[in-house]
Amino acid sequence: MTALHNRAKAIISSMALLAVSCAPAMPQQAPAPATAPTAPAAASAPAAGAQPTQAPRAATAPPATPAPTPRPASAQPTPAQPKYGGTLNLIRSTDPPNLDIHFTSTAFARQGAGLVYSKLLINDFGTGVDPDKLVVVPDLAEKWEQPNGTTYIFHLRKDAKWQSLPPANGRPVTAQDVKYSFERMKSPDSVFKENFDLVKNIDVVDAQTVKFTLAKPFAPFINLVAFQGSAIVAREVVDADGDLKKRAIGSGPWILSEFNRGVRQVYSKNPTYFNKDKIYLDKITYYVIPDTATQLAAFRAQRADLWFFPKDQIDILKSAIPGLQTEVLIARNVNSLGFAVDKPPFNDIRVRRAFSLALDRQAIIQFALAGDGIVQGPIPRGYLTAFGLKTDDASRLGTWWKYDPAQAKKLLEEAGYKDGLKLKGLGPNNLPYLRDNLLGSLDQLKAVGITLQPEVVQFAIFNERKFKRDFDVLSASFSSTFDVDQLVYVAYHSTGSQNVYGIKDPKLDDLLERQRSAILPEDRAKAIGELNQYLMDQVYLPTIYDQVNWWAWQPYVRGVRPQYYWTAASGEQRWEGAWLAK
Amino acid sequence: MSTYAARRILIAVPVLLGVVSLIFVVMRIVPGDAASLMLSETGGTPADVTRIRTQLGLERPLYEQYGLWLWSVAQGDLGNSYWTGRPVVAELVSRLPVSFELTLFAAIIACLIGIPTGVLSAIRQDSFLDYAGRLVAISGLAVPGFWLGTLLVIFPALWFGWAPPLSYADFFADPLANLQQFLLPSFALGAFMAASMTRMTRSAVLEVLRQDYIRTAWAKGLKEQAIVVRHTLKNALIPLVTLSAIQIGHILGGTVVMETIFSLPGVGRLTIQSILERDFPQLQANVIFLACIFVTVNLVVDLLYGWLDPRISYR
Repeated sequence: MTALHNRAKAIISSMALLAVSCAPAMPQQAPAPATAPTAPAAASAPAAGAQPTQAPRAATAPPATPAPTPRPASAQPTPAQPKYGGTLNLIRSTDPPNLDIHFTSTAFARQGAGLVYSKLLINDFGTGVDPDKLVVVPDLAEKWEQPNGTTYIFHLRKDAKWQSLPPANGRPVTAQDVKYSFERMKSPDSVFKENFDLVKNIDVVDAQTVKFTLAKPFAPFINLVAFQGSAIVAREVVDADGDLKKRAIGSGPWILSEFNRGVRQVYSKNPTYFNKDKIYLDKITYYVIPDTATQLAAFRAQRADLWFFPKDQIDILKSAIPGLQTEVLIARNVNSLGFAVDKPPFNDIRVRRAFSLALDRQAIIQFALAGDGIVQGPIPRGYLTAFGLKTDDASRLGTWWKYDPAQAKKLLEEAGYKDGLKLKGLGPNNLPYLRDNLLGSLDQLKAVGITLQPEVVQFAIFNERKFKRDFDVLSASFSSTFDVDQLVYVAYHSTGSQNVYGIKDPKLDDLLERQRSAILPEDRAKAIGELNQYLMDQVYLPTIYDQVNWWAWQPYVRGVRPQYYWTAASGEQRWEGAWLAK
Repeated sequence: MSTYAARRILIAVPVLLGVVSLIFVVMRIVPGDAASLMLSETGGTPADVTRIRTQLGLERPLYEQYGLWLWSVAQGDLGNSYWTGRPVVAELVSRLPVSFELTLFAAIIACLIGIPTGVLSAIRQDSFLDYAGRLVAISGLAVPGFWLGTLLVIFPALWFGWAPPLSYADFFADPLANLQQFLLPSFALGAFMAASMTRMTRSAVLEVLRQDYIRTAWAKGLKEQAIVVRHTLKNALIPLVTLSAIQIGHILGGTVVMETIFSLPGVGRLTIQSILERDFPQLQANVIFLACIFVTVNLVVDLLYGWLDPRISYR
């Protein structure tokens, strides 16, 4: 099946390339800078979460941001005077069912909201920012303090105003709005309530100052405040409509002027935005294009200005669009084949290790992603780098992540499975790479005596069976959008919301609690390192890869550089500084 | 005829009820519901799942859910979408023009291609034109619609740097953009129907051409055009009308694929989305609508027979 699959893909790619070579010559494009060779980011650049703050902290200045390490990318355009005006046309594969950023779980709700709402803090973006770094900078809060491990004080900027739409009507954003928003995020209907469990009190000190008191130290807190979903919303809208499903009125740079579900969202420049001088565009339009072939066609025809594509399609686009700008980003998600560890056979550590040793991860990356991925240990390489930890294979993958079918067989025999195992593997049919993780591992597992019967089902069925733990092996994916804690805690902690694997390990719980409560950077780095070692040793989840995404944007789009995957796909970068040279 | 029509409409009611009831039960039996999907990204405890299921009314027994739903339908309320909170009828109505236009254009294209090709093929039987027509017909039947649709998206972009406008433009607001958007998907959707119509037209015309009255017409010295148009086509249309009714079903199913490929916000895409999202109220409303379409089309076709062939009477 692997050979046939690859042959089919090769034929389709060849047909596309043949079409390009037969195409009439492209009309001359406007002169654009040459595209420098791109390179995968993770190999060279260090990545960072928020700059951990020192505690106790008396200074009111935001933490110092180290100078970004220059990294190879498509060459940034020659500095030119930005032009005002124009509409940036973007793609999304689907759109949110409604606009309620706190109560709607899909990432797409947050993507649009990032344009409309402000947050206290935000992940830095811009052409001068290293995409591998997640540096937190001020947004609504012009500065913050951390007087001790459990207290954070945010000072709001005085020029922040709600958009001039009823019922907020352009009034100033106050500390009361911040308190209201975070209490909404803590409420039972909020999809983020788990994240804010540790927030004990939110106090309005004065109109521009708000204080958070946590139940205990929580190192990811600053990153959480900068998270997409931590939007500051206007109470009047909720009071008027009962929810935020129908309207999005924020204090951000863009006003949602049209939400046509399944068709498009249109955002217009907010003239009262506090950084309005950095907004050059008139409009941003997100078109909903679910089909990947149509996405490619739209981009090729320059009806869309920015999106990500597989590597082979990037090559087609580069030959068709002179001056195309590209960037490679590591997705920072983790794809794995997990199993229930609280019952046989995977409650035996030897069987878990054998399973992991049986996987040829490079081959699976080739099969599932046509090579657009990197072998991944339990914790994504970007996070290890952020904490100054080693990222050589031995350090981040350990003993059990290598491909060693002979040792796998030996371990299975020692565990009493000399005759092999028959298992069922569950995967969703709407995400090809998760399906292919299963299919790509069949022969490898068979070689060590594990017969895996794949069950590729509709996503709703997959989800239900996942929650009911009705599987032997599960092909799943985790993402973290603001901090490594969001990834490891939910998956591995005995109370984690995504822990469908039955992992109940007091030592692991302790390590997880330690890393999230270690406020000092060096303490947290040590805790993360120990956690990673333990996860590599126990093999609770044999992770396979992290995806590499190739982003492309048109030659005439300037002042843009996609950052970390989720920010690039979302409104995180707000398109401040973006302009169109046409 | 009016008695016949009234009887057919009355029969349609239990048919519609049966179809929708089947969908109601099947969707609730199939694993997965909106509650677990809503928690798929963030995860949740069993208590969270129960809370959402209770909010959506999914915790009630099946018979209770069915009874409540039937009662609200009888009052004209088809409910609100689980995901958007909007009335499902409003969502459906907003998507209707797109699917209607796509289906209409596909049917027009199918007729414009299928009937003339079939007639030409028949009256020039065993000639080059006949073989060409039959080849085109076979190709249209063999080529999957989704593949043709994808090619029609990709190759104009790669060869000419052109793609249809990205968002739906109403025909009356911007006819040019609208036609640019609908031409390709309508062609892809109508291709199969055109192929079927070509073959059926050819067979029907050939059969009619062999009739005695046609031979008499030739003997009288009528021109070919008069024979074909005045004497042959109308009699050949009867099986074509039957075929069209069946093909409407195929086209309606095909709109799902074409609306997805060409990013058109129609009923087909809404239906598939509501299935994947387990949005039961939306799906049920869509099924009622589609079933009504089927029933109506079949009724219209049956009534058309009477007009086409005066010998047909209704009892």
